[in-house]
Amino acid sequence: MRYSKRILIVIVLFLMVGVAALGFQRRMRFPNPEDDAPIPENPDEKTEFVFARLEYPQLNVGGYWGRRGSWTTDYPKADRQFVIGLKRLSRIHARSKEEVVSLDDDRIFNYPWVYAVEVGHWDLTQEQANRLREYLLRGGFLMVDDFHGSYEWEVFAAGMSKVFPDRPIVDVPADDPINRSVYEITDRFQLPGIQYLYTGREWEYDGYDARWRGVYDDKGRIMVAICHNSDLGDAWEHADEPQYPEKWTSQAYRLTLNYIVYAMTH
Amino acid sequence: MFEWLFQYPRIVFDKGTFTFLSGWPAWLLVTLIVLAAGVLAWRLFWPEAIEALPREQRNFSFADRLRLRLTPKGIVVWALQASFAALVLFLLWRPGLEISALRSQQNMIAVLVDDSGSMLESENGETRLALAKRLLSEQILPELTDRFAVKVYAVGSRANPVAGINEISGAGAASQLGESLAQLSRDTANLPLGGVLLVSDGADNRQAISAELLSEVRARRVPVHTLGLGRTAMERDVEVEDLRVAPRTFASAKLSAQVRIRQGGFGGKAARLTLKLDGNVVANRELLLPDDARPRIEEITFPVGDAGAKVLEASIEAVEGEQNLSNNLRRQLINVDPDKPRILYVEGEPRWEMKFIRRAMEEEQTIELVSMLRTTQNKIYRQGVRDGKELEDGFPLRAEDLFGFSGIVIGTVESNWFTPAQLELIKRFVDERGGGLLMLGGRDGLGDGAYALSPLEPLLPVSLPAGSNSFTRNPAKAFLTARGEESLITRLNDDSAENRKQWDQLPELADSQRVGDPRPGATVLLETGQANRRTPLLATQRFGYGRTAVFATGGSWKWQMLLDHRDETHEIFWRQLLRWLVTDSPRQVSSELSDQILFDRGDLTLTTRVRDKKWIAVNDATVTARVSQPNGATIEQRLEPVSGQSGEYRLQTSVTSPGTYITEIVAMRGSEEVGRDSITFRREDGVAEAFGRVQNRPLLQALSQRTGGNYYTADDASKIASDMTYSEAGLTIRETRDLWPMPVFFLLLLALKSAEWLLRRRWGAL
Repeated sequence: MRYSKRILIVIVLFLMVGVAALGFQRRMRFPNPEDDAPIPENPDEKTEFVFARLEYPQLNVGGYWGRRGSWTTDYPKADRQFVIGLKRLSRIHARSKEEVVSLDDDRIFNYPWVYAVEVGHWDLTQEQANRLREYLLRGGFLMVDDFHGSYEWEVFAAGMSKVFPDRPIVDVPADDPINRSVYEITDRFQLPGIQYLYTGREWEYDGYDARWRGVYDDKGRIMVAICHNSDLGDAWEHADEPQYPEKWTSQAYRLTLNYIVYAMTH
Repeated sequence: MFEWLFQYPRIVFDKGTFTFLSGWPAWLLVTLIVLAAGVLAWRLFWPEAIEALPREQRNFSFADRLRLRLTPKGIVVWALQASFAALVLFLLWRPGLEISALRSQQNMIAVLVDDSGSMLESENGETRLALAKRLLSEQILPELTDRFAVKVYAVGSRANPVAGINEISGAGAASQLGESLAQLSRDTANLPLGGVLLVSDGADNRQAISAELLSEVRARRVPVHTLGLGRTAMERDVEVEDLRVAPRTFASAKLSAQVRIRQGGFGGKAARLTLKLDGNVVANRELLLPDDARPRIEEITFPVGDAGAKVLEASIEAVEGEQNLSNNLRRQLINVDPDKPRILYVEGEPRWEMKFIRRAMEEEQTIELVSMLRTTQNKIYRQGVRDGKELEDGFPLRAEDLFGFSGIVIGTVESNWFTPAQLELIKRFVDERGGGLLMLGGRDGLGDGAYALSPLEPLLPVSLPAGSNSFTRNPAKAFLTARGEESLITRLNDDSAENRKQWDQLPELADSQRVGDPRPGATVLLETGQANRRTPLLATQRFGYGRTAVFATGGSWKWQMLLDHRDETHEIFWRQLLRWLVTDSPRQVSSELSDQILFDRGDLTLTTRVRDKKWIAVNDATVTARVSQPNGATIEQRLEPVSGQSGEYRLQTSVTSPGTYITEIVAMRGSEEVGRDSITFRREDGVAEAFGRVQNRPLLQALSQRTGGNYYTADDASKIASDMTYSEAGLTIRETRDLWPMPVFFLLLLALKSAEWLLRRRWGAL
């Protein structure tokens, strides 16, 4: 009896640890996109700015992310949490609920700022790449985030070369106007995702250093702002997580606010 | 004949309002007319009793018997009788006209006589000016002076009062009819001006009479009557009658030149028009020559390039059979200033409109767009500033800081963000400094920004609704108005049909804002809303020395995002709108010449206005003009202050050799330079006589028609004085005129009865 009780305790403990570990797994806590954040107040308000999230096809991967789509990472809590901060910190008239836009139709042209996550897995068709190029040349702005290491970079860069075969991806210098539009950001450090809490690592894969890159247009204005080896989406999403370092969340808000105001002024 | 039949001059019918003086209701008249017609029909067409019919018809039905009576002849007689009855009843109701007439001895009449050189053209042994003087002194002025205070003006670059018509010599500069009328309207704002008579050939008018200029006159409801002098047609000749272009602009700007072509004997033939700037072809187009009576006006847009004095030439290639080729070319001078005008754009919150306006202006690079954007509650993001200090403390508080700009754009910024002193400063910026103010729609803009109660509201071309909720983020379509079709601001394509098509096909705006009615002097270029409830979307007007505009949306960025990236519609629109905003903003030292091209004469007047940084007139400046002559020599001459005109200096000079003269004007106050300006003029000898200078009748007709006046020729000049009595301006009384005694009515009654009698007699008894 005593023996079987011990076995039971061990099983329960294993189960508890297992559940806890599962809980800490990135993106595994909220299997359905709409479940992790309540519908915010006034979700259909007509506003100047809407947080537009880009839906894109991804490389042929199976499993959970294959089914759900890597574009939904952190969705929608990150988007909504970010907009709360955006409204508090700036005068931008923003809608509380995000908008999902795709490259398969022209609706994207109504949203001159768009956010794409996990672009290390995107797989744009040539038609989608053409529409994205047209969007950017008309004056649209794309911010990409949360992709890490050299493999994901290669996938992203391959997609970008379909969009702009002749336009290089370059480092954005620290003194670029994009780093001064609202906050004067001189120190651009790496912003790890929530995985830091259970791995203790600030990087993922071989993405040891944060890279702040961009694609410029002919007039020297950034069209695509690239946050490589950082995870700003997690930093917004876990802004209410006591264990997640505040300095990363604050920096993510500052950077993104700068990007948005830059996009609305350049 | 007209007056014999109708008893009153035609103008009474044009201006009068019809009414019944009996006071009886009109519906009763209509009822009685219907009744009378019915009774007459009954009498004529009611079937006879069966007993009265011949035997063979006694079995006819009622309908058959009615058909027997209802013959075409019977209907004609009935129509004549019914018309007679209707006319008698109509006259019993005492038809009349109500009309405003000027009170005798209490009003002023302005007589403007064209003082330009073309008035010295001779026809039938008498110059146009001599004919004008004769008609005025013999027929018009004696009658007018009996009833009104008459003031005579000589019209050159402005309307100058003269003591009598004999002071007018035809030696004045080319006339600016539109500006002179607007100036007259302003100068006589406090006087009971009852009407204007403009005596002119319209031939040497140097300025387009814009809708804006006319609006000022129309706002006062002063009718401008025109007396056109000079011949109206030419023979087997093509002439570039006029070339109009802004005399000054800024580097890299685009200008619009208007070329007026007239011909005689070649109507409908093809010709080639070429526009050259400093000898280089900037436009070349094939066109069909207009009909004999009307000139054709071609509008061509071209880039002016770098700074400097430039010669613009418009020429028509010789048409087969044309004898006189020396009038196929016209020149004008353009001074391209090196300084770019600066516009201050204030935006209360980040929005897409600002991004895309900035982009449109960045690519054009003709105007410096300085922007200040409230990104957060306490932060202002500045772009385009000269250094870190500029606008560091926010919107300028001092005139010398604000007046350095030529235009201001206010976006979605609530009015109370500005201090009362800043709002007053913006008002002075437009009114006194001569800057342009453009206000955009937005959730804190126009009415929703509480501007309805601010000092800026009276400046705007539209009234603003008090209270909020005038701004909506619903898609809105922009509709081009008739005025918009004529405007340079809304010209997306030089071809007017193509232009309208482009506007029709533009995507909807992201949002729009409801504004009130346009002001009397405003021009509405775009409208929005449903067909039966359109409200102004883009309106402009002049205010004081400056100009204002309202663009009641913050959503034109959709024209950029929803059209192909190569489409330039959005850019063209914003460049044109912002160029309009600043093009006429004067500099601290700004000069104008009586004429830029002198034909066979050398006299000219240079006038310079000097203002300090606060735009206060400077009366103690030393102003000198350095004139570089065609042979390379330079003469320095001093301008003298003009008495009665604060801050104005004038030089009357003369040049003898033909060629181009470049003049640099410098204003000094002690050892400090207030500012400088440069201006160019040209003397051309042996050219003027080649130009026919026929009367520009369409211009004069349009001018009178748009202001509610009449156009007269020398033959009907005798009517002018009596016609001018009828006006809605000045001090008027409402008079009524009975219409029943008009001979035409009695003749009509007689004709109706005679016709009936004659017909009945011819057809036999009915």
